[in-house]
Amino acid sequence: MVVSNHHLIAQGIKRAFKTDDGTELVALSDFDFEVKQGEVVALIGPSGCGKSTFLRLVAGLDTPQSGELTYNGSPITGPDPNRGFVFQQANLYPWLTVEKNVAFGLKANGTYKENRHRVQEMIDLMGLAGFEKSYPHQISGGMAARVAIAQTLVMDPDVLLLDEPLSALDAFTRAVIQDEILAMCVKFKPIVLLVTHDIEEAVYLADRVVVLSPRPGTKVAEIPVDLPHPRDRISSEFIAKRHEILDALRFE
Amino acid sequence: MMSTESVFGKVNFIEAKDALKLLAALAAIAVAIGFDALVPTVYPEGYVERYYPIFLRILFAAYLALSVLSVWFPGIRRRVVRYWGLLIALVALLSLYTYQTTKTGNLLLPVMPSPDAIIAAVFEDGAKVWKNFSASFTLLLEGVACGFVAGMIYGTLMGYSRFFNYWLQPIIKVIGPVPSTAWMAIAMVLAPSSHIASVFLVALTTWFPLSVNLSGGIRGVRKVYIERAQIMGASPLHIILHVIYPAVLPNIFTGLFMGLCFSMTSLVGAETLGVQAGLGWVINYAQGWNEFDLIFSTIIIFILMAFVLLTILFKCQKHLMKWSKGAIQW
Repeated sequence: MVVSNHHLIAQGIKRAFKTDDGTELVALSDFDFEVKQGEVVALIGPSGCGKSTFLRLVAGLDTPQSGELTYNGSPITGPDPNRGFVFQQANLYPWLTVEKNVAFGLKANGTYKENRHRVQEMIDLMGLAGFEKSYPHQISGGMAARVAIAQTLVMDPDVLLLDEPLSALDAFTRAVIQDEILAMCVKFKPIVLLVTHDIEEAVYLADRVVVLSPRPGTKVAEIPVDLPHPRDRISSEFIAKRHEILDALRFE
Repeated sequence: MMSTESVFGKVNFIEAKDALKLLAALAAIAVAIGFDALVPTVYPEGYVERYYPIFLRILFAAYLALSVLSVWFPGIRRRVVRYWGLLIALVALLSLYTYQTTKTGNLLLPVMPSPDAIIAAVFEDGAKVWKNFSASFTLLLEGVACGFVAGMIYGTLMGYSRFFNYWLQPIIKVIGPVPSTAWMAIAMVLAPSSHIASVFLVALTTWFPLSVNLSGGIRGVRKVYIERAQIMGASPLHIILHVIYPAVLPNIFTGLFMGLCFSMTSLVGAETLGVQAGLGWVINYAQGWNEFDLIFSTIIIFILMAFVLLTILFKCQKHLMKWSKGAIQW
């Protein structure tokens, strides 16, 4: 096993947005957070609690107004293939085939030649074999979500940021892809930050669940989930965890 | 669909409905030929039709040949059957127009020449027509090519960079909407030759719609496409070439389509006022000599040129955008 040295630390993060009428909308305030390699952390909370904002900050797509956000000790200043991001909707490039979508990042940073075998590896891992030459409009939503994950994994990221990647899928497909994500975590041991609305998904995948409250978005609870994998969704311990999180989400 | 083996190989029987359409179109052409042959030509006195009867016979032979071929080739059949109605309408219009001109003299020369005279103008002055057509075609291609390059660069800068948008937007707003013919006099004086001035004016009319469409398209590209590429480590140039351009291909083609259409207008303008050659010049010249048959035939050549160019453009679009669900029809 790799030595657990990758770590991400957030301290006192604040991010506010100007609305059209000039008022300030505080999306995230006084947010402290820490995660180390191999950990899967779910961020859960109602809309407007800043969970997606935080993910964009970690990705380097946005910068905080105050507070410190460091990865392995150095501040995050911009996007990096090492911190992969899977967006809410798959949003694949419609003009590229599945295979070329997966290969996009390698071609973009010029490492396609030495890593081309990884493309097929990821296609196989995510169960996309046989659809390499299909265009995005020809595949299902579940397939598209898999391609989006494969597209990110092919870059071999140390941090995987998942912004509700499965929210648009049906329950069955979601359960299947959740297991694929778990298998991938065991294999690559990345830091995983998962933003979700789905309490069951959070308990099923995460080692730790961070509960956020809205306006201003801030952390209200951190609940460890120490159940062994594979987790039984209808066991009493699992359901007890779901209750615990649901209780934490009932803020005034 | 039923099929069977015959001496010719595999025959797909044409559905009765389609066969009737083919026969109706052929019958219509045959009627037009008969009409033209049986009704005497009286206007102008002593006039003998030479080209129009041949044209109708060629049309009949071609449609007959395609109809026969369509028995074996479903691809040909689809197209041949599709145009049956339009063909009947065309033949009916030509017959009516012939009736009003050579057969009765209801429409007077020289303003309303008969179909026969229009076709004759193309063939009897073949060398002149060809020379002027190729002059126009060259000018158009040169102008559109320059306008394309300029429009791509201008539109990209304006759509991608706020800085360039601030400085370039006013220029296009001021210069773009002015009809290119209005610049003619100035361009003729400033440019080293009238040919360069004409190329410039044609380029101007391609540049304008292409830049506007392209920059608008670029600003509308989904942010997530670009952010995802950034996260995967793509450079700005890589993003422009491999994310933005594919995403705005529809806008590029719309801009080119509009540019090509406008360019033909400025082409005629440039040729009427500036260079002493080309289809626009022919029209101007023919007007001076009351040769309206030459004007009509030049317009027909224009239509054919536009049709061929636009068809090529849309074929390119169809090929480049085969990933897209809804293909644009032309």
